Amino acid sequence: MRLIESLHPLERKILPFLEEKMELKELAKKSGLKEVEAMRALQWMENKKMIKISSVSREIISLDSNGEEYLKSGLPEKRFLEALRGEISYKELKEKTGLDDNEMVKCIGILKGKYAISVVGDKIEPTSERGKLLERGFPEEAFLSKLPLDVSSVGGEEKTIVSNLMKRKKVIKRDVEKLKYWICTVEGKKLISEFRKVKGSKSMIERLTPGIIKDGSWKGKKFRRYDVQINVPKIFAGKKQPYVQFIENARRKLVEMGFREMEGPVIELEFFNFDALFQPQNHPARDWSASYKIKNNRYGRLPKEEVVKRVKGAHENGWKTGSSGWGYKWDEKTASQLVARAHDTAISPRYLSKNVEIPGKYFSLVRCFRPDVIDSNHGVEFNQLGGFVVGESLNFRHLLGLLKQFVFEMTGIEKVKFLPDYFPFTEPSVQISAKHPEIGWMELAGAGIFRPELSEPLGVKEPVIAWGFGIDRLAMMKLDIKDIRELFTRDLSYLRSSRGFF
Amino acid sequence: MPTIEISMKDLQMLIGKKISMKDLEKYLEYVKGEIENVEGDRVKIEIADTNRPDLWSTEGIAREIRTEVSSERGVPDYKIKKSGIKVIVDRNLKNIRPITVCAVVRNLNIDEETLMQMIQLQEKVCETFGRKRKEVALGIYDMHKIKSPITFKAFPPEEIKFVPLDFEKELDLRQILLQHPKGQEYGHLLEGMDKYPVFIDAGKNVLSLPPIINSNYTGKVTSETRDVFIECSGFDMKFQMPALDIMVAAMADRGGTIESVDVVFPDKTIVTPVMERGRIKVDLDYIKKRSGLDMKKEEIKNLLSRARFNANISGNNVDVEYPSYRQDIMHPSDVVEDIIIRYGYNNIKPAIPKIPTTGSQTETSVFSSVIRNLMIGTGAQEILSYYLTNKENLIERMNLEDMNVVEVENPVSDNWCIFRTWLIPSLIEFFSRNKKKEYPQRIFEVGEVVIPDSQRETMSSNPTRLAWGLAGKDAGFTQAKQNLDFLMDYLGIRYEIKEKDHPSFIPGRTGRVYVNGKGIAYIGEVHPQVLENWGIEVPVTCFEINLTDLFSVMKK
Repeated sequence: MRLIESLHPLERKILPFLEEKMELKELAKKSGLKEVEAMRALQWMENKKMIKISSVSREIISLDSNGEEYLKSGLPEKRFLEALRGEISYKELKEKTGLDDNEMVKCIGILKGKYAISVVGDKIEPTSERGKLLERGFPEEAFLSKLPLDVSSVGGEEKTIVSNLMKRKKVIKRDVEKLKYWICTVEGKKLISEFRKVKGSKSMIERLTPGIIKDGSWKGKKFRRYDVQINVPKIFAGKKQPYVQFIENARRKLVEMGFREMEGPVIELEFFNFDALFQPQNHPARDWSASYKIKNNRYGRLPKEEVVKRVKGAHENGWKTGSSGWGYKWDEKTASQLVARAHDTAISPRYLSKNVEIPGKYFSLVRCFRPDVIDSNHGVEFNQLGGFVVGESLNFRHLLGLLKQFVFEMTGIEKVKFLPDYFPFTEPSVQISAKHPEIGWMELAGAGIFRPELSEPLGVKEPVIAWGFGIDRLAMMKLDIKDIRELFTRDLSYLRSSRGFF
Repeated sequence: MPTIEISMKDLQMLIGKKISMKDLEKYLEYVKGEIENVEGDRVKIEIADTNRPDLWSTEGIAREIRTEVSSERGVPDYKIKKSGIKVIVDRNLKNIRPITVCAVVRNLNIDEETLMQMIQLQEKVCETFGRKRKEVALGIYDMHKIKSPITFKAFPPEEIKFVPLDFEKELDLRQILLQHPKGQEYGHLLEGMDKYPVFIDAGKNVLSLPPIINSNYTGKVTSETRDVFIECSGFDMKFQMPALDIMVAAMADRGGTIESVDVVFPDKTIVTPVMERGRIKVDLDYIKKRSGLDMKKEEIKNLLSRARFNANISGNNVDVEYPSYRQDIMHPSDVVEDIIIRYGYNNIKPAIPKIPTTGSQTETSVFSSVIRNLMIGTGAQEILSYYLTNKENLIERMNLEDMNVVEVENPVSDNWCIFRTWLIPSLIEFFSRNKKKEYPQRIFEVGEVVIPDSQRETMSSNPTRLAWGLAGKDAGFTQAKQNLDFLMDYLGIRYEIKEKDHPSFIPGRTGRVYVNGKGIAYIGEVHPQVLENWGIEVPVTCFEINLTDLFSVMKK
């Protein structure tokens, strides 16, 4: 009796039909439910051990997107063959049929196979088979019009047609269709007969409505019992994009460590992206292949200040820094070229040359752009986290200390090692690796003390410790992502099911 | 970053000691090298320093390790004898390839590994240090096939014929540029010139067409070769001298004898290789201050000599002498780094700088955070898109005619060639990629766009925008307006919407949003033509707000 009280309205609807042998679709029709509703009710019944569901699979061949199109406007090879009349060039044929090169090549292959055309050199000519084929019609087309079909019913020549069509792009598809059947258990049969007996009693409350509460009619009645373990449909509320969340956390961490955030333009002057960082104008990093140049508006305007002259001096002869400089003729035009910001460090000279507080700690976390070939390690774009610490008595030991602190704050890893490294704008330079418990040694950040040829022309006498993190790699580790492109995912299911992290 | 391949056996022979792979890993710190992969005796090493071409060979690496495993110290000593060979540089090379420096190395015992290293070093020096042969082209020849004096001169391309390396047929210079693989690869370096540079000897045998290819006869070095002639050509002695020194030093390290060549320029004669040591003065205090290490004079001197410097310390002054190939040394800080590297980065106790500062985010970051949290409160899923896109997605599929955009000149793909000027196309694209996912779909993005702006020094500005979109069978103007209201109410901003047509939206169901008379947003139902262009089969409604403008209105 308790069981009958807890039956869901959907279950009540299917119950009368459960003893008959039928398939899910029929059950849905008879009970007046949607297929998913009927299925849900069946599953609940199975959970209660009233029935046993069995499923039978069968494979169905049906039209795919291109197939539907072909059925409407004819197979490409048919259109090709129809258009192939008299003297006609490849180009004209292409225009007339509206096929692309790829499809044209395929058509030629197919029609050659059917002996309907002959190809001599670059000339395509119809054979005597052309007319016959068009008159007979393409067996493939006839087949498409018969779809959908059960795979087991396809035989003989049609099998060859299927295998040929499967090789073509999105013409037909094979799907497995699952048919659902069930049988009643002994308990199930009991339930049904009991249900039939009490069916008349309408005294059970299904929904508690404001009306029922107001008029008190619930008093003395029973509520239908729910299955509290039941699976309910998921909801998709608002959530942060996981990678943005990660970036936000990193930003907060830096602020907690006392760093002030910097910002800069997406399209940057080469002056700030390279020259002010003491990267010589013939440096390979400034190559066509290493940074994005800008079309049409190729040049921007250099700052009008002294700083340009000093940077020029640093490149040409070291200016007043005690350096020999790169010793070449520095070109203002090159420095005024625009480039998509290639690294976050481009922002630092803008701040160092203006209103920087000493001592001070600064960071930026921004989008950067390089023309890398896109693969699982190189996205279209990437983010970089970097910055500098400037102060009177800073030295290399502080640089190491800072890096170690960063790694600990960002990853919780304490075991680190330092390796000498090279960056054109720092001397000494270092790279830090951390020992991840599962992955092993991971290269995480690069850093160094800005060369005096860089910081002094910008007006900063004090040592400047510069550092940069490969934030994308950290994010991949944290989010358990193997392909960097997934950081910018466009898969809504992934986003809806993404887990929180802290 | 240059990656070089070496033989462990060969390296051990050059340093005179058997070492383990673990030892090698440790020693490689001195050359900023990391083992990339090991296959039997072959080791691939990545050298981080793109400004130290002297390290890009087994000989160069061995030179830096020898001071750790033997009594060898200080600047390596290379003796140079006179060869009597002369190279005459013609005046007509001006503006073509005016500079060359040359050397002879004798008594070489060239086994397979030596030959491989020679070629590898030559290639790396020309490619990376020599900027893909533009600044440096190096040629190595069998000395016995060459008659002095050698002439370096420019010729009309049809006038000279020779058999280029690995070819059988004689070709003229223009044919070489067209037919030889190296001609096709580097031919652009001679583009627009009516004469091409050629080395040719007294017997009228062509040595090479720099910076393209050697001749097959003189320019083929094999295990039979004992003596070689080396030339290095380009535009600037600053590149030529170190490049030549690096090559001859490597050969001398294998027992070769260096001999000089008289290079006769129109205005002067120089004897090369010069291999003149450089000198730099470094303050003792500066070393201590920059490194943070309290080192004794003797210790500094010892570290310097291990790093292949000679040092003389008197008072606060350190006189440092460095090898001629160390063209990277420009400033005392360069010397300091080498001292610290020999000291060992991992032997240094890190220190945390005590700098009391207050951290802060930019106003944009703070404001964006507020907005993002609010949008999540409305039940929208945040998305993240690329700044780069293409005209089809940003303009054409959005039903627009044209738009002023910032375009990349050298895209790697046509899909990513312009910067986004608005965010809604990214939202629509997102919907188009999730047609099979459960509706309704509510999404938003906060991010920068790139707007052409000739008032700015960088010719563009980057306002931050918010775009919100809803896709589903019941999506309409009302929901967009409700969400916009919710946002504006929270910020305490009064706004008005004026009907304004926009090709991406349904006429009469789209408006421009004004705050204090300034247009800061668009709102509307997306035009079915746009939906069709994207293959979307449910209605979409959206709005996009310029947060930068909104924020500046709020601050007033």
